[in-house]
Amino acid sequence: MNAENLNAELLQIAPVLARVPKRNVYRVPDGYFGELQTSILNKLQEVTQLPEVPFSVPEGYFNTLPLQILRKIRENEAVDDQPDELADTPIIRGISKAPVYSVPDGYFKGLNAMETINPGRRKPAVVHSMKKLTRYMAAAVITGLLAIAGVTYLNDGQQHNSKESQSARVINFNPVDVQQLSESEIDEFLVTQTTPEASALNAAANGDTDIKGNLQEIPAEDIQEYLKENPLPGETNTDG
Amino acid sequence: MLPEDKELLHQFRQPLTREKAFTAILTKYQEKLYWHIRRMVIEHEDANDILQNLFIKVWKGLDNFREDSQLYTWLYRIATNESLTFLDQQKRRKTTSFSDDENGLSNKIKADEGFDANKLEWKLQLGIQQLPEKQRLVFNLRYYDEMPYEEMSRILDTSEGALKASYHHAAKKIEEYITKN
Repeated sequence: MNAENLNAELLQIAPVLARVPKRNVYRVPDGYFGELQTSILNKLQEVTQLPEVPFSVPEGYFNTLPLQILRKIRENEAVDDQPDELADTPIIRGISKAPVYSVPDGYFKGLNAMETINPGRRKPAVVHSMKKLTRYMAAAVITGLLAIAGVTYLNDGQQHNSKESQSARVINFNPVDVQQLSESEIDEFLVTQTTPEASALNAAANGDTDIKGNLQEIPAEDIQEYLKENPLPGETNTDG
Repeated sequence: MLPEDKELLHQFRQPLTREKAFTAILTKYQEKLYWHIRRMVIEHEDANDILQNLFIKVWKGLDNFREDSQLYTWLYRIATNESLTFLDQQKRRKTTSFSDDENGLSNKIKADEGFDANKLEWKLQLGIQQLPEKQRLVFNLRYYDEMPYEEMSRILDTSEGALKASYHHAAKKIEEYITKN
């Protein structure tokens, strides 16, 4: 089709447009088309010098690849075809695995709701560090020794020298007492005691300058609990 | 006088004449393809990038080119696809567009140093940018490249009837734009 025919076609469709001069309004940089060839050939050289794939594969890899894949498929199929372990026990196999136990209606729903409402109320599991355990032990030893040796020493002559009263103190001992003692009182007590526990604790205390501080951090209930689980030699379990 | 496409393809397949044939193909088609791309993407730098990448693809793919279509058709098809891909990428990159077309092509035209809003040629360019991409392609190939519908049909994979209708609508819309502005 020649230009005249094209113009005739356009005149029929859009006569105003047909009268618009068909001039190229865009420009290209001077000498662009002259340099374009060289530019493309240079770029081509750069591109074709690069290897298509920067990795290599062992020689003949792709020839053996289908066989390797098929072998792997067969191996997997062999594993899938292994007999069912419960094949010889048709009775067990026939039993439904559905849970037989029941839970109250809406239990799990309620559980989730509780979790959502009170996310912080769940008590975390207690994990005692080694340092904390040592401090528990120290507290327990002091508590036990105080109970056995008689608190009278520390109470500065406030009676209780008889055996009965000592026993009574063991039975009615309240660990809060330990926390009410001063550092110097504990030190003095440990130095004057000759029991193996006191000596060991005294030695350990030399490396720890703040026994009182450490002991005060331990709640009375924890000391009670520790003593229940680990009674000192000769100590009577207050829970009977 | 450059050899026919068939001869160039034959030479390209011979290692000794490969580069010579490729240079001849470049010489023969570079300008036509450049303007086809430029009218779609407007800016010279973009057109230049697309054209260079196009010829690298041609170098790599020409060995597999089947001669059941013409080299000319094949090159135009690649140029068209590359231009549309470029415009698509631009569209995706732009989250907001304040121009009347999705790619801001009208703004690019107005930013051209030779732009003159009073000249009909520039109004025509702005009118073309109001068209949907496919109509724009059809209009450009017919109006500027004077391509027969039959060839256009092979490049755009569209029936001749649909192309005629598309050109008709495009010309009407552009005329309307020119008249109103």
